[in-house]
Amino acid sequence: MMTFQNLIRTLDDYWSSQGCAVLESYDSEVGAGTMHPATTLRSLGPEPWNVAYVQASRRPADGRYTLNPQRSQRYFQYQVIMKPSPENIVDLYMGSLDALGFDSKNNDIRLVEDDWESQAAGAAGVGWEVWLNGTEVSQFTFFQQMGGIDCDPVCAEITYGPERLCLMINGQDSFWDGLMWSDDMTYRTAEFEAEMQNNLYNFEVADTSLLRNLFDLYEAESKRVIATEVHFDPSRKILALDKAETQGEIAPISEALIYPALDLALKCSHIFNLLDARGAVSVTERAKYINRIRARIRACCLAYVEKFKA
Amino acid sequence: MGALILLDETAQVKRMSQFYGRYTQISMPNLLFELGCEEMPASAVDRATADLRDQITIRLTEAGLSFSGSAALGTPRRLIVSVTDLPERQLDREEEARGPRAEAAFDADGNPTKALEGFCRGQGVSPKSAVTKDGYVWITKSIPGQSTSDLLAELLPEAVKSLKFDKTMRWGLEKARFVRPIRWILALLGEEPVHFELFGVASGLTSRGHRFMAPHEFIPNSWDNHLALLREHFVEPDPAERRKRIVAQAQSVASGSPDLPEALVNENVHLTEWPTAHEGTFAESFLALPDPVLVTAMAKHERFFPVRDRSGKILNKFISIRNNGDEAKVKAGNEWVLNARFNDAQFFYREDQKRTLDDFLSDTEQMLFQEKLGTVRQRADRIAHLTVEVNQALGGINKDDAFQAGLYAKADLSTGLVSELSSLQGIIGGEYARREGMPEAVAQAIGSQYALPDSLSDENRLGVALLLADQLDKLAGFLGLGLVPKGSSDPFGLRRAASFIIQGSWLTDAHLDIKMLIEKATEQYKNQSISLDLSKTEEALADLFRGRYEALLPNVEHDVHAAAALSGHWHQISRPREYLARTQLLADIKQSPDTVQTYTRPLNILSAARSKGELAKAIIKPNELTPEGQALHQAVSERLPLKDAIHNFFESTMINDEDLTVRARNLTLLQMVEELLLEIGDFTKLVIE
Repeated sequence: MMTFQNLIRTLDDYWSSQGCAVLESYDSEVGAGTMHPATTLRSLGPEPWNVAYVQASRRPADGRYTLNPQRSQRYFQYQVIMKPSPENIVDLYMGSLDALGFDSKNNDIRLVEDDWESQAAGAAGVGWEVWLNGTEVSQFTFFQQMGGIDCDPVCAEITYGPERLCLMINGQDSFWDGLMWSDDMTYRTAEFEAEMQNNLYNFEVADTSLLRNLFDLYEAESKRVIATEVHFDPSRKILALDKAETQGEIAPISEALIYPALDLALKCSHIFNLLDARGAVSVTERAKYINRIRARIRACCLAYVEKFKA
Repeated sequence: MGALILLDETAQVKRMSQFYGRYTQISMPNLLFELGCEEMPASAVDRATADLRDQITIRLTEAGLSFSGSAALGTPRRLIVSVTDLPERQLDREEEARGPRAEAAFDADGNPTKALEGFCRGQGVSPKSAVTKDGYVWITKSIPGQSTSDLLAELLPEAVKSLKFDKTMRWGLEKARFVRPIRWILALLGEEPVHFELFGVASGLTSRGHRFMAPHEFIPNSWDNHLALLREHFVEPDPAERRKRIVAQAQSVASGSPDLPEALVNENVHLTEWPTAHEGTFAESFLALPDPVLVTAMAKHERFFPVRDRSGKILNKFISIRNNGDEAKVKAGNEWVLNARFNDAQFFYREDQKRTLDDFLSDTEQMLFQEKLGTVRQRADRIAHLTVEVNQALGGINKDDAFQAGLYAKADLSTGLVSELSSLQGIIGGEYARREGMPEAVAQAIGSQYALPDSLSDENRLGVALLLADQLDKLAGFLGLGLVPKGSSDPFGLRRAASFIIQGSWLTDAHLDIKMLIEKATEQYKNQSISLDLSKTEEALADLFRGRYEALLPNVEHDVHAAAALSGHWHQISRPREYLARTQLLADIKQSPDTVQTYTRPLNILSAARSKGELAKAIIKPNELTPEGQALHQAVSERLPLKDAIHNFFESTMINDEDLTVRARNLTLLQMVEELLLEIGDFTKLVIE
């Protein structure tokens, strides 16, 4: 029996043996591992970047009141980013399936065209969904753009659905029935109660007018923060609001509060997802909200690549 | 599409081998080229295979290299091209170059001047070889032919880079774009490698087998040997063979008869290098789901083939084509995922069953169609009225059915199943209508509203009426707001809407008057206090229709379209059936240039008179006309054939007579002729060679 934590440990071990640093999940509600700054920002710029991490993902509209055995509003993604994408990245990925016990001789593994796009993140990639005996087990993407900015070099992003993989390995059918987190504890014990409550909250209880207000507030704050002028003070070796009196030879360096501004943009994204789950967003409104989120994320990405331009 | 083998140019081969046979004993090497990629999109492989062969052979021909034939095969991981009997090198050729004028090239003693010496130095020849011709000095250079291998080293990468794909990508540190990352390149001329680098990959002599079953490298030495080795390494390189295998195996393992639609078979052909079929089973309880839901989950999401019994009923079976793996294991996995998908669909289906189409219809009050065009619910009212109109114009009788079909057409947009499986819109509405006991014609119409049939029948008439009403509403609304498609941007699918209307009109002998129907559609908006600019709509529609006519009738020549479109005004081209008939008539008449000339004469003379402002209208009394004039007048009045009458009139009559009364009479008669001619088209636009 494969436990959930062993599955994650196996992937951690495998990818760290391939040179990836194993990071932690981001501490803000995000819809996918792609929204972790370790991907959103670090997929940009020229620096090599090889990481793997689990990301708890919130997708309010995907909830099914726990009635559907394989869909929930909160679940996990296992995310690998390798930049630049190594020549043998597909082979490396196949190695990870082998490590999980899906030997490629006896299973039917297929790379099926699937281009990925996130309008809200201004992101686009080309790649595949990976099929294992017909089940999509991973999304495999070569990032072409993030925040509307061309990725150069291109990174490979691999996203696994660990719950589903675990079920497949064990021949089980349901997140809520028999899936073990550890040897002694079920996935259900860890997640079920929160799942039930969040479904009802997301679909029926969340206060839509409050959410609309919150969206506006977070958006305004993200705008203000990214526009705030800050400087690196070489003498004190800290970021500061005031331009330090230049005591040394080096002039203060203009910087931006990219990470805080992105956190605020991520709040907007999550609030929009809640409004959407409440059915409170019309078609045209939807496009407008998405454009507003994209503008915030793009502003952060632009500020992030700015420092590589010099 | 199978192996692309050109069995031509045998004469050329013979000629070439005679040539080489006579002068030298050079063997004729073959090219074997394979581009190995990570998995390409299934839809890209056929075209890329054919294009790569073409791009290589075109470049060989341009370089003056002859060959006896070419072949190309493709799988998701490789494009393979063979070109046979290439020469070892290009033939040497001579090129003449013009130098200075003769008098500037030699001095009085006949010795070369500085000018000639400079020119010859530049060309790398001796001044002694210069000859004088036509007052200039000429030299002849001999240019040695390049080796085929060197030429291929340039031309193969160019050919690959010239391939067109719907979407390309970058990877790693590469700046160049291709459909997917390239992993290996095999380039063999005769027994020698062709050396080059492409996208950071060096060409070599090795190929690779199946990704999982035989991933190691191997070295082929010829096309035949390569195909044999590929098959040994679990790669069937020929798409036609893979197709045969898929179809034959699917039929043999199925416990009923499998649905094998062309597109799905083709997709499986290019999702596999070594296809094998097996049959799987799903829980019988899922058969309670509507058929289209079952088919969509199997065919569209999993690329499985559904299986039916003799009566056409779907069985709880499916055929899966695997590329690899242990049958029992893969089958268990396939069944696992299909059951999960059906489970998901069942959740929505059960939720939907708690409600009626009326509930769904009223939910569409919450769905915006377009900001200024109201909700989907408002649209339902408009479409209901329009469907009645169009159905009547198509010869349909039952107004109640038409109204109902229109009213509930978009109700399924608020169902759970359609929000989950959007490709099932319409189909689900039709299913639910049937389950609620609506008339079969209504259910059928709702279910078929997104696809135009090949011909019109009593069974599908209402569906066609609904489809047309839907598109009319869309066009009247968006164009009336000034939202016109531009360039490649047509976000609301208005070009497609116009095409639907034109093609729908062609299905019936009834001459649908789209101008009138668009007015009715605009009126529906007005009844809901949504104001639109009809003149804007009509102007945009005239443009849209002219473009669509050309796109839908590509075999009709451009000038015939121009003639049929007359001045291109909306009222002149808003009856598609009539437009089609006119293009046919005009194309026929164009075959007879003297008829066109005869018809053009009155049009030209009137246009000249019009531009001078000399066009008067007189009252014609036939007895004041010449005999030829009388004959023409009679032909016009009685709608008799005009050609000879026009001809005789022009031959016998000075149209612009000095007597202005006579002139006015002539021109008036010709205007009557013009009116009739323009019912067919503007003959002056026809180009006669």
